[in-house]
Amino acid sequence: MSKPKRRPVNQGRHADPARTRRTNEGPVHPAAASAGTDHPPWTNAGDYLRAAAGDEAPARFGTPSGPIDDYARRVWHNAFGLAVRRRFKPGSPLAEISRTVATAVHVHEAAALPAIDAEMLVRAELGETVPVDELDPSVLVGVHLLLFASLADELALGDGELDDLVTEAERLAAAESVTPR
Amino acid sequence: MGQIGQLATAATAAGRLVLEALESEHPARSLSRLIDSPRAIRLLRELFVVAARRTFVGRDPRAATRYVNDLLAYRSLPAGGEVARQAEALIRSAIGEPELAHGIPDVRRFELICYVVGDLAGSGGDAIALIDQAERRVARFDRPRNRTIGRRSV
Repeated sequence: MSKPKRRPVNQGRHADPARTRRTNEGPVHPAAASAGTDHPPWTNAGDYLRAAAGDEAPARFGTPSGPIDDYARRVWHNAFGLAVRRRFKPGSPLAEISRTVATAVHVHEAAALPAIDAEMLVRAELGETVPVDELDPSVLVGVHLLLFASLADELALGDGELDDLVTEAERLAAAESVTPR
Repeated sequence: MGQIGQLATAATAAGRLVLEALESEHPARSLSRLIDSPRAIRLLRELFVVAARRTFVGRDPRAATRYVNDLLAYRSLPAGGEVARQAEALIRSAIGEPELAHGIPDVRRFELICYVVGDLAGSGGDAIALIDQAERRVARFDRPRNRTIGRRSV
């Protein structure tokens, strides 16, 4: 049985030109681009996330170099939230959450993620009222990317599942850009 | 008032200073004035560990989140940001997750310890027993054979 082909991590270079972007800018218009087709709104932000999950992105050191636009931030935030809620149920034992966070912080030691900030972000995604104000934007991006990568590893997501999750995050981010929160 | 009698029960000068601060009208503020006394600071750190453990060990760890939120709100401090995270990290570092408090600046650490100790040990807490236990910890950890290289997490 042949292994399902994984979409290459190519920063969008070989994607449909209508949806291709040179940097991490927002999509041309993902909702419109995918309308009437079976294709998800593949974006550079999503590709970068897949690369991070595969430990193939510079994000292993935290925040990517270069500017990051709002769309990319939303994709990564949504993907992080989806992965957190897939891994944990609301009210999960804090020790379990702490263990996962500690593992992620250890695995991505070079990024020097603050464990308490990462844990608070996980708990916030589970609906807890926790202090998440005044977080440095670079910490936010680092946690969203690197914890997503760790959660994907912990959940042992296959390529297809990872693609589905990232695609869902892209769709949510696109919907948010059409209807701002 | 048995204050004189209580003060006499603290074994060390640092213990007496801390107890006096806890007996004052504003314990946290009085404790923060001990910043020039290295021995008092050392004792305060252990007192924080003792008070945190007596309060939070065996409870749901989320109790620390709720406690910090209430404490900061009562003190009219922002309860949704960095100070709250650092306070929770400090408390949980005292009850078994030392890595959480790495990177908290010393001044902020001292400030938060004053708030928490002032609240847990100052308001109706058994201050003498807590200080006594903290003094024992200081004595134990400061024995030459128990000294550690580098600073402790709390």
